Amino acid sequence: MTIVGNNKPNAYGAFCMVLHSHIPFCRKSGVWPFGEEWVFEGITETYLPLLNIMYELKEKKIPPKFTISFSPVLMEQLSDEYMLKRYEEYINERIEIAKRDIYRFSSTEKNGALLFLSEYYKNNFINLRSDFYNKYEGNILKHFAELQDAGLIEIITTAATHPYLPLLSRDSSIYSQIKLGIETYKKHFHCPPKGFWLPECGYRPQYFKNVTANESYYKPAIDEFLVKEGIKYTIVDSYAVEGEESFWGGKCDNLYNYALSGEERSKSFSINNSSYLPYMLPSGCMVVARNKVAGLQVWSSEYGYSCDGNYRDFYKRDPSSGLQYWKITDKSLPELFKEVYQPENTKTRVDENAYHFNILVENLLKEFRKSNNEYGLVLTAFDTELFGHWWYEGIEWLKLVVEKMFLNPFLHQLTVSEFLAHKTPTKKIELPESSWGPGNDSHLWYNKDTEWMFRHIEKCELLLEDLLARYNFAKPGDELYAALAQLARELLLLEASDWQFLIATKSGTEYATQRFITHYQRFIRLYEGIVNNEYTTQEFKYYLLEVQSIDNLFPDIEPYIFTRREPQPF
Amino acid sequence: MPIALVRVDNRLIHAKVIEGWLPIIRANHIIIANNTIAIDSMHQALLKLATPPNVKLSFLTIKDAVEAINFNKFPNDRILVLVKDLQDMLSMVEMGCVLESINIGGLYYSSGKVEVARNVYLDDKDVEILKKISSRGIKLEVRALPMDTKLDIMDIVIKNWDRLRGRS
Repeated sequence: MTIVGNNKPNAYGAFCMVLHSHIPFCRKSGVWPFGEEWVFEGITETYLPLLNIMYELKEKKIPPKFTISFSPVLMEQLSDEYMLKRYEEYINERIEIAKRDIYRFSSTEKNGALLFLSEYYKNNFINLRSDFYNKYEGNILKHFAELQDAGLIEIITTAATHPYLPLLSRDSSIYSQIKLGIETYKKHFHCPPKGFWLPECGYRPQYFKNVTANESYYKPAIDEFLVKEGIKYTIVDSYAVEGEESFWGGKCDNLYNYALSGEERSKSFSINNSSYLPYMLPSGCMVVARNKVAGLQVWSSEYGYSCDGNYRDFYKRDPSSGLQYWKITDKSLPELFKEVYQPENTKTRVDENAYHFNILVENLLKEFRKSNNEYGLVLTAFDTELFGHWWYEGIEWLKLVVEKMFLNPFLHQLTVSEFLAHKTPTKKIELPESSWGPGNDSHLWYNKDTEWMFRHIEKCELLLEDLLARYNFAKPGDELYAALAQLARELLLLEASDWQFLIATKSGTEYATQRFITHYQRFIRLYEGIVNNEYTTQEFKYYLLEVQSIDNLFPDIEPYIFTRREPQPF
Repeated sequence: MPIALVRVDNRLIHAKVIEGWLPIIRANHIIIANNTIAIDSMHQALLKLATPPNVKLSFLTIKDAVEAINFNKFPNDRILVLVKDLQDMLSMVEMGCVLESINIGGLYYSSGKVEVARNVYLDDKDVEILKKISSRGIKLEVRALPMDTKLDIMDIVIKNWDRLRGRS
């Protein structure tokens, strides 16, 4: 497979496509509209189609070179026996639903377009079921690992339950989330990860924490934790490096025509702290930033590719079956006026969009090269589930982008590790606290509706640290050790950023609140059982078994990773 | 001048301070507040030997230490203030040293003293000093190392002193 330097001597720079895959832990914790279906939809609409195009590209001897992160909670769910059994039920049910729609739409002639689509869905579900069981043997991660082993993609990890790390008050939590993220990666991919995706691009620089007016101590930057665990690089939002506001929901000049015309932009590129270059953090951790222009072009709700009127509408669903039969049409139109989706009409648009993106990236790198005489980087990072799940045609778009860039003599497509091996950063920088949320700060996750959660999380962090200091004699196999391990699992689940995200975006407030309270109550019940010396009683053991059967992630967790790593507060 | 920690420790500079505390509080300047050591070059030389070369070491009288703390004499440093015993600590407080908390690290055993926490031995006089310091609203906690669980020494003393002294 091709690597930098072997060909394309005229390349202006490299393009890295980073795909971040995460779904909250929802095993045995709810079904449609909130719960297990999230994982099943991810498998059906994103992960299987993504594997399919990557193997298709491999057949054509075109390396996709995606850098893909999997959150450890997702890794655990994709390989969980119960979830795999439930997936079988889910995909069979999808096929039956499509069949029922075929029957329903067959009864009237005016539903010809819907009939076509329901048959299209049925065949698609049948093919995906066949792929899942026959081609991938029910083991998705194994095949991602195979592609990584072949040098076609890179897989990286992230924090165990996907918390917004800068908002965790105790370093014992930050360390545990990172350590467990790496250990879980090793369990599933049989090698150490080189890169680490910061959940929500949340970065915390070093600072001194004041305990009192005359006592303070050092809180390390997040990358210091990463480097100590062997991580080589991480990825931040463009804001962290360039200082301009990121593109969360923000409006921007229409850049679509810019890419094709190649006209000069008013802003000249600067070599100083640019997302086009990699940097070294003081800890020795390398850092790259996502590119604002290229990212915005894909998913801006104003003019991103994904809001083309021909593409399938995500929100409007058939009230009876829940299948999606309509196209966006015009995003300002009420649902009632949406037109029926016609897959054949999207092929040209997907191809155009892929072509446009290829030229956009080429022009960005060309301009950077012209201004700075440097081999540059354009890195885009998206939620993997954007492709296929949210933007139905996105998977095909990804494939076409890879194919077009492969043939483009001015671009290299590389994994992030390959890019950094080719262009090792020399300049050291320090980063501000940042995220990819609105305003690039933490307010999407920490606000008046969610701040109560962080008080409870901190309380549990301190209780667990205290407990581990007092009960430092438990050994694997002990009843006490099992209880401490479950306590650690409940804390990890409490810390997930999903609960705040669902509340802040009003996309599942009740579910998120209920989940948070449930894990909190489990934590407190287990904690009280331990401090009251009830952990050897039959009643406690039954309770522990019950909780273990639901929140069964990270079976080998070592609870003492949560041991205190900083002074207690007063 | 951020004061990173104020600690009472009979041994002043030793392994727990250098290897346990300095990496956590990241102090680059240690102030020893003691009237005798401030003029004892032999003692100073011994303490210098135990201090890492990248950490500045100052020997100040109690009065100078209070001034240094209250008037921000070392604005660019992160400072660990080490005080040899509770009497020196009380002197600093009575001279107006503005403090919110004090760490009790280690107080030697001597005849008549009882152990109230690991490596912390007190007698009635010490308890009276602690009460005087505490009465000014200063928090007093016992910890040998930064990650140790904090023990509220006043809680121990007020609730258990008679029992510890064998008088109950």
